[in-house]
Amino acid sequence: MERWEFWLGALALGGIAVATLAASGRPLGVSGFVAATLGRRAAAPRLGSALFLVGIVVGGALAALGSGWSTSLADAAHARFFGAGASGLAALLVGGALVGFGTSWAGGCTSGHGLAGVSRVQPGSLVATAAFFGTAVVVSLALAQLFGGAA
Amino acid sequence: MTPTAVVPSTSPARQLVSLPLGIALGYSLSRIGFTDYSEVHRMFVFADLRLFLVFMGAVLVTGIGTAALGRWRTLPNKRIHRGAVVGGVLFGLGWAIAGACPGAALAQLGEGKLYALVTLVGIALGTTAFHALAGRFRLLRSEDACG
Repeated sequence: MERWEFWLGALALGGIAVATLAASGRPLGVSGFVAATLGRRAAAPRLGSALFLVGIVVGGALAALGSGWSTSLADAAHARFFGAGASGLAALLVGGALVGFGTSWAGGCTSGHGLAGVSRVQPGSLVATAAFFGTAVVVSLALAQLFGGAA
Repeated sequence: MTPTAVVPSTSPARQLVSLPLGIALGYSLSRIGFTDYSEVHRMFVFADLRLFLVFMGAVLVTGIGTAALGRWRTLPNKRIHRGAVVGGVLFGLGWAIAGACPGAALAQLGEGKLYALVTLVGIALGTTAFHALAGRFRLLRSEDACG
């Protein structure tokens, strides 16, 4: 899939965050939509949250259709670190659980804290974003050191 | 600036607009490369700064747009709390291992990356576990859990 230039990506993500705020009155926050969809948070309406999540899946499919849609059962780069079979899937499950637990505790993810919160210079969002980006950098550098890079 | 006209709409018709917004986000995450494990990994090891630039630019655009909407001061404040640090660290660990934040995992599934289903099951389990435990342990209480 051909990648967008960085400025186009920035305009798109920023534009979507602003459009979501304008349309719903609430800042963009995907982990919040996940919690609301699961019936775990009443702060966002469930229907709209679920529709947003469904939309993300559809959007991913539309992007992939443009370059010949196909299914894959494993990511080659991920497999170099964690294996292609059961161990790779276990890493995705554990990693996903950490993402779900961590974003719930932090009160936001890349969109809610990283985009919406940081753009308004909110202290909690700056701290959370520094924590998750910083940790991901350290862990990724360690993985690259141990296994020789994914690229 | 007064916090008027800030009442979020919850009518089903108004909520339908979430669908096109979600589609736009999923499409964008894919075209940017946030759904590609090795691309995200290259960002985290500073081998390719493009995704970082996308992110910083998006923060700038979001800030300008939020101010233009007159919402800069009318949105809930996000204070520093224990979860912002510890939860953030756990999220970062998970992001580096699974290669996806919640939005990216959904877009991956749409792209046909079926393994993202496992990531999403993990995210659902982690989210459910947190909220189940948060009601029981004060340690996990995050006062302004939002977005």
